[in-house]
Amino acid sequence: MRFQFEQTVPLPRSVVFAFHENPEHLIALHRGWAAFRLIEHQGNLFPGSRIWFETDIGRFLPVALGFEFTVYEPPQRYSEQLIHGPFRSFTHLHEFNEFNGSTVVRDVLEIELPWYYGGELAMRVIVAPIIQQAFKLRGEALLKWAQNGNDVPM
Amino acid sequence: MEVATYILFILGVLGGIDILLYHSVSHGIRSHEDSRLELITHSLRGPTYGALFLLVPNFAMQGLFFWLLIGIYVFDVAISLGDFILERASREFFGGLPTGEYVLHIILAMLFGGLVTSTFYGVGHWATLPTRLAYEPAAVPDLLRALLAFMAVFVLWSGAMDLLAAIRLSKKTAPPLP
Repeated sequence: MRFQFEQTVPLPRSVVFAFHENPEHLIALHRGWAAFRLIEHQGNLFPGSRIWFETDIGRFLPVALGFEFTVYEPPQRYSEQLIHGPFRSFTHLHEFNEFNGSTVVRDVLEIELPWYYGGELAMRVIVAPIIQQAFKLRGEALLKWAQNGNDVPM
Repeated sequence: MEVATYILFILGVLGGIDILLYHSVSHGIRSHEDSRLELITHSLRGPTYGALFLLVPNFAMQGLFFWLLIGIYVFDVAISLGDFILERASREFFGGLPTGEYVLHIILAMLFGGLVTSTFYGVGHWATLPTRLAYEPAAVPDLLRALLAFMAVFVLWSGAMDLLAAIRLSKKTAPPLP
């Protein structure tokens, strides 16, 4: 299943990309979402670097996810793919496009659940609403960060 | 063995939930290198519970066979103790066991106590009878016994998967040969 989310941020692309380059800032991006816990990261987005975090399903089932960065092309894009977790595949591409002095942040996710976890049906019923909610809050947090003079409350 | 059979069924269902939700979806321990030893303890539950799911609802185990059953119970207690000891290091990277898994383990431990107690109260006299193993199904619905037979196959398969994962992860983390 493919997901695409966009958020226009009233800041130059270099500033917005630099914010995303620090994995610690994921905490600020998911502040409104209680189901996020950063486990470990290597401090950069270079291909081969890894990041681990935990989210949860239905507030009772934590799910640990490990990702490895695969693309790093500052300040246009970077991406990561799943190396640990219950999905058959999970890739996340982050794109940053300049538009009239602002930056359009586009997140493109391709996610597949294996059949034994419910496949496409479980994706639609369980996973998709969680992803949509997470990226709605993430977009709001990004906008709030930009409007608050890009100060990062960690 | 009616009560023991019902308790064993609930144990099996909750154990399956533990495997599916916490071992697989939540922490994916079959691909987590720190969980190698925990996987070995889990793999031992394959033959242990495979035997219990088939023996308890279907057979009269008298004399030495009764003590064999008690031996399986004791072996399972040893597996659980080993599991508790190893889990701390195994799940440290993830911040420890999920809260729900802790709760589930406590419930499973209480049910296991109930299984042992119901065995002694229900058929404790088998211990003093002549040694004999006979097909004498417990007075429970056939469907329940069929489900337990299916669960025996599942737990054996799951144990085998845990063992294979432990071997794979051990090879992955083994130091290179000089």
